[in-house]
Amino acid sequence: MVTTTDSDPVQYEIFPSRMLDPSSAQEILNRLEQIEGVTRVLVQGPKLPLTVPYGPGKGAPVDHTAREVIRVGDQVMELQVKVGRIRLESEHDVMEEIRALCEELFPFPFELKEGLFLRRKATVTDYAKYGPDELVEDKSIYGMTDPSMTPSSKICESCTDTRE
Amino acid sequence: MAYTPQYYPGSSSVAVNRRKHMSGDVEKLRTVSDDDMVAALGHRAPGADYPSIHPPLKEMGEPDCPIRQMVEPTPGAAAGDRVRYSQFTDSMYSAPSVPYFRSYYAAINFRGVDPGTLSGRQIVEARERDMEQQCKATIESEMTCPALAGLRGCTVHGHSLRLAEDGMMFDMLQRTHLEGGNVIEDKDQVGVPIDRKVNLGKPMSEAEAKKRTTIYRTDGVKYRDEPEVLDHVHLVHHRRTMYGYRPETAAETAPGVGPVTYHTV
Repeated sequence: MVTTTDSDPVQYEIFPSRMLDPSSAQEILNRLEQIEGVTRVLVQGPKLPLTVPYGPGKGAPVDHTAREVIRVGDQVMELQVKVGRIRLESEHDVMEEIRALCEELFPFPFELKEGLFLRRKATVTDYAKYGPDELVEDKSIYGMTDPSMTPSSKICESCTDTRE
Repeated sequence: MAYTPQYYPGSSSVAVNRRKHMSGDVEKLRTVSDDDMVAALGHRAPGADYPSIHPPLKEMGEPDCPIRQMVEPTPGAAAGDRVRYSQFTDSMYSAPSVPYFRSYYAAINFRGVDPGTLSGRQIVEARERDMEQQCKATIESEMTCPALAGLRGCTVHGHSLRLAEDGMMFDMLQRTHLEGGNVIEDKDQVGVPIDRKVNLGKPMSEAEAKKRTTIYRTDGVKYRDEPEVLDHVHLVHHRRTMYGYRPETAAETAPGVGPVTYHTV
């Protein structure tokens, strides 16, 4: 069981009723980044493959228009998912700021929930990926990666690979 | 007086649409050329002959069989076509049709088809030209909205996901996209690019989709608001459970007992 205290960071999940286009995702991620106290943001959604993964057309290029390069703050990254949810962590309560932001940006309904969405403790998978907990310098990496990602892939250029 | 099957109980728009799909009395909304549809299916090149797996039945000399004499072969079977498939996916967000009613439509209104019904997709296997005839009728009718339904041979999981901002059902392989207000298909049903843009027409508006849908939803026509359907489903379930393959032996529906009402919790 995870116990929380007043000093623990709070986590939110934004669940829009439509999947977001890359431009909308870029807009909201940039605006979220400007909210004071937000430390971690994760986007989740169905994966957009580069090639047809299975079936008679296996290997054919997909060229999905939602797989676009977006810029968030000073980071440039290629979206590998169609953005369906945004999970974020903040050092203090920013619920109302996020709600106002979503109401401003989304022309469709959305859900905003507070809860525990990004894990705080290392799992066995994290141990396999990053090594023993005491050797991991940046523990904010936990829960921020695609569980099925290949060992060579990185979230962004500034993420350091702490595996030996 | 000729017997007219009722097909499905209920009085709401969803029940009416379900009856329409089953009876085949569906409205034609768009026209897709034969070549465009053949390209979208991806089984043969547009304009090419139908490959065959056996000589035409007339040349084969069939055995003396009363069933074969009674049943006229479909055009595809008579010509010896290959068996090929078409597969559709329908979004849970008020798509006009659903797998079950696509299967009813195919099985009731077409000969020589083998419909397969799954939770998120519906496949029809048949001799190639029979399958194309059925597929064309389905695509051109009100059973298909190009944004909320799609010809997908694989990767159908978009049916259960939220729609995109432009109202299109999610497709990992992006076989269709919006272009100038029309839905364009530029890949075949398994995601291989084709050398043409198949125009599937304009997507249905949200109100239009809700009017034509066969899906009971809490934000549309609610299943619980349809007592006749609930009663009928309950009756079928009860008889199937209690009397197996002999529902006519059900004691409560024996002569003299009178009508039985089932109360759904």
